[in-house]
Amino acid sequence: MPAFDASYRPGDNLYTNSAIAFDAATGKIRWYHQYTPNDNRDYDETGSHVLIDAKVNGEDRRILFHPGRNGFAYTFDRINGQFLKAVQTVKQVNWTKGIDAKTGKPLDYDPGRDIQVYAAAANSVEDRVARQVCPNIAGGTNYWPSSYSRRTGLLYVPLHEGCSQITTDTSAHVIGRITGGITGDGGRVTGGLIAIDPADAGVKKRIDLPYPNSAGALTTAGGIVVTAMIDGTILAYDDQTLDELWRINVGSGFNAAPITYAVNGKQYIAIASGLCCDGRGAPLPRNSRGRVARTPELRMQGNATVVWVFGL
Amino acid sequence: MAMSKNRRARMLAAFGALLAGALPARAADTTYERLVNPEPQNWLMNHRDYTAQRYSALDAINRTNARNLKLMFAVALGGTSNNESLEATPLVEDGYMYMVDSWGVVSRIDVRSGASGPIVWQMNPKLEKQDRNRGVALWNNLVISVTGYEGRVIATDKETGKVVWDKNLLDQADLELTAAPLALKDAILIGGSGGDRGLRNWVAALDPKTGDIVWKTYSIPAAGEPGSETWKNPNSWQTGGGAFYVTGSYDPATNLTYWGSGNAVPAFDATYRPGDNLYTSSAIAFDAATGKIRWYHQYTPNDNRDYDETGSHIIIDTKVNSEDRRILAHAGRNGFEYAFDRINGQFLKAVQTVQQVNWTKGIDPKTGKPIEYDPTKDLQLYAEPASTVQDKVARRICPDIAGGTNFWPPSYSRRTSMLYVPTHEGCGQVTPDATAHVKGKFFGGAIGDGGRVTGGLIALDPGSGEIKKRVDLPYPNSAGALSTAGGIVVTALIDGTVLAYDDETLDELWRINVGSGFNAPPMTYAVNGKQYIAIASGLCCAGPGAAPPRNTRGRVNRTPELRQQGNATVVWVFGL
Repeated sequence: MPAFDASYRPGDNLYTNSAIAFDAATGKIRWYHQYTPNDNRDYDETGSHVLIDAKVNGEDRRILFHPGRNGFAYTFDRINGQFLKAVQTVKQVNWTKGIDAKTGKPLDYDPGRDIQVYAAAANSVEDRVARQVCPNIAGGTNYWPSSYSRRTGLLYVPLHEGCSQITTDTSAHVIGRITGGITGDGGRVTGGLIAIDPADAGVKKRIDLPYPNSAGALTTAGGIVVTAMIDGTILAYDDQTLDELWRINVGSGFNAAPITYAVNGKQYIAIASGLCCDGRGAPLPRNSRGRVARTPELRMQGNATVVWVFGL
Repeated sequence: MAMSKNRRARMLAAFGALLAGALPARAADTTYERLVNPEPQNWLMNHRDYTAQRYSALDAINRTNARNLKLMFAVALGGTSNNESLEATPLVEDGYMYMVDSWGVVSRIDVRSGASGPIVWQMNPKLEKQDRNRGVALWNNLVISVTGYEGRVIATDKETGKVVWDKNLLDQADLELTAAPLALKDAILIGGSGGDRGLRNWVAALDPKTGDIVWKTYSIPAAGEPGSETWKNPNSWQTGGGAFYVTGSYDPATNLTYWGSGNAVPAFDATYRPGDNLYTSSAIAFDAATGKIRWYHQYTPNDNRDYDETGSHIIIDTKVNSEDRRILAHAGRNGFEYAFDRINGQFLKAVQTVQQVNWTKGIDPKTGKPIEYDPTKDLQLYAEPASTVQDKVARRICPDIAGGTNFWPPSYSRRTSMLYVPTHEGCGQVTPDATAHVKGKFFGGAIGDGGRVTGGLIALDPGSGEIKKRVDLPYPNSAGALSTAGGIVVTALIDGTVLAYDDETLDELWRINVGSGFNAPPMTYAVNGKQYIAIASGLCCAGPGAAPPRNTRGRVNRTPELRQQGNATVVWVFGL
C-alpha cells in the first residue's frame, strides 16, 4: 500500500503479492515467489495456493498451484519453490506482455528500476492520470477459490473478465484510507470458468459467464463442478465437457464458495448468499456490490444473507 | 418543404404502427371486469378476488404431485438495512409480479421465465421509517400502494414505474396505512390504522384517477353521531382506535364492502372508555358508493384484550340449515368463527376455533354476543373476575392478544366448501396501566410473557359452524392459507416452514424450511401454463424498546429454540 501509487514505495516491496511458504513450527519463511513486484494495480495474490501431486514433463512433482489476481495461473515445486509454469487465465491482460517462462516474473520486469512500468505507458505511475487496467482490480481471480478435481486432474478456476479504471492520487496516503487513488467505472465485468491442466498449464476448456463469478468452485467425484454468480445463479457443470447440468436463481448474489457434505448417507450442496459490502460513501464500492452497480440490469437486486442447501 | 396534412398523418400512423410492432406489448389494463372475474392464472388483488376466499382454480399442483414441489427461484427484496419485513401477498398479472416491502418500495418483477425473477422497476417512496405493508392493488394501468406512517397513497404506472399521483391522507398524528388497497370499479378503498397509538381510524374511498377522497367513514362516531352514546367518557372517542389493517371484501351484487375493525383504545384499559365502544371490534358493511354503514356486528363490546377483528371477512354462498344463503364468514381474534347473512347482517352461527378461551363461556347462538355480555353495564367483565378491569392487575388472557386469528387470512375452498383457518394457540399476559394514555403510547397497559404460542390449522364448514378437521402446529401460523382446485391447502409458520396439506384429510403432503419466518400469505399463479406457489419471508418487526414486541418477532422471542433465527426478506417461488 498505497495500492495505486507505486511512487510512494520505490522497490520491489517484498513480500507483497507473493506466494510464501512458512515453516508451520516457527513461522520462518522457507521460500517465496513474488508475482508482481512494485504493483500499482491492486493485484494482490492472497487467493488460495493449491497442493497438487501431478506429472510435469513426465515426472511426478509435488506442485503448488495459484491462479492470480494479475490474470495468470502459476505452478511451483512446492518443496523448494522452483517456478515451473505460468499461463494467462483471463482473456484481457494489458499490464504485461506475459510471464517469463524461466523466472516466473513479468517479461517486462526490470530489477534495475525503482518503479516498474511493465507494459503500460510511462505515465501509468504518474499522479492524477487515469488508466485502464486489465484484468479488473479485483482480478482475474481473487478470494473466490478454485477447485482441483482428483477425478479429472484439472483445476477449475472461476474468473472475472473485464477492466478497471484507476486514477492515482499521491495525497491519499492517510492511515485508514491509504489506497493512493480512486477507482472509476471501468465498464461491465463478466465471468468465466476455465479448466486448467496443472501439469502443462494448458487451458483445456473455457466457458463465458454473463456475470462475475465471485463464489469459487467445488469439484466432486460425482463429476460435477459447482459455482455461482453475483446475480444469484448457482450452476452445476459436467467436469469433462463444462456443459451446464443445472441452475437455479435465488435473487441474491453470491460471493461465498460452495461446499458439499453428506449426513446419514445423503449428499447436500451448500452455498451462502449475500453480497459484500455497502461501501459507505464509496460511489463505486471496490467489492461485489460495486460490480452489481456496474451491471445495469442487476442494480435493483436485493440482498439476503442465507445458506442454501440443495440435494436430490 | 411543406408536407401535406394527409401525408403527414399517414406517415405518423405508419410510424405509430412501427413503434407498436417494435416495442413489447403494453401490459393489459386491470379493468373492473377482470377484477370481478380474474383469469385463473392471475392473482390480481390482495385476497385474489372480491370474495376474499383466496381460492385458486389452478390444479396443476395437486394432492398427487405436491410432494414433488421444489424451489424454482427466489427474489431477494431489500437487504440493505436492518429489521426489514414482508407481509404482503405478491400479485401476479400476465407474468409480472408486484410486491411491496417494509420501506413501501414497490417492485415489478418479471416472472415469465419461471427460472428467475429479475426486478424490472422499483418505485421508492423514500420513507424515513419502515412499517408493515400488506400489499398493493392493481387498477387499470396503475399499481396503488400505501406508505405506512407517512400516510401517503401512491399510484404508479405499472408499465414504467413512474408515479402518477401521490396523495397524503395523514389527517391525524400516528395514522398508519398498512392494508393493501382494494380497487373497485371507480374507487380505491384505503383502510387507516395505527389506532393503538390513540386516534380515530377510517375507511376512505379515493378517486383512482386523482387520489382525491370521495368519502371517508370513521370507525368511531363523533359526538352526536349514531353510536356515540357507546363512548360514555366524552373524551374517549377521539382516541378510540378501530383500525382497518386488512383489506375488505366486496359484493358487486349489492355494492357492499365488508371490513373488520380493530379494538377499542386504550386496548387494555376499558375503564377509560365505558360503553360498548362502537364500531370497534366489529364487522362493518359499508355502502361502497357513499361509505354509509349499512349494517354492523360488534364481536366483543368494550374489549380490553386487544381482540380487534380487522381480519378478512369472506363472502361465501353456501347452505345454512339446508337453505341457500349468501353469508359472510369471519375467523376472529377473540377465538371464535362467525357467519352472518351478508345482505342484512343477521347473525347465523359462531364456533370456537382455538382450543383455549378463558374470557367468555361462549357466544350466544341467538345474538352472536358473548354469553355474559350485559348491555346495561358500562364495563364488561365477561367470564372473568371483577379485577379484570382493575389497574395494575396482571391477567392471563386466552387466546393470546394476537388471536385466535388475525391479519393472516383464512381460505375458503370452493372444492371442499371448507374454510381453512390458521390459528395461534396460547395465551397472553396483560397488565392494565391507567396512566398509559398519552398520545403515541396509548395501550393502556403492558404485555408480559404469556408463554409459548403454538399454531393450528382447522377446516370448518362455514354453513354449519362445524369443525371437520384440526391439525396442531408447533409454531404460530401467521401466514394465512391458500386453497386450490388441486386439493391442496398451503400455509407457513414463523419458523420458516412452508406446508402443503391435503384439503380433505389435512394430511401433510410437503414441507420445506427456509430458516426465515413467514408472516405473509401464500398465493399461486401460472405463467405459460405452469403453476407456481409464491410466499414472502421476513418477520415483522424488531420493535426498538418493546420487550417483548407485540408482533411476530415477539412470538419468536417466546419460542426459545427460534431465538437465534435469522431474517431474510425473500419471495420464494415453488413449482414442480
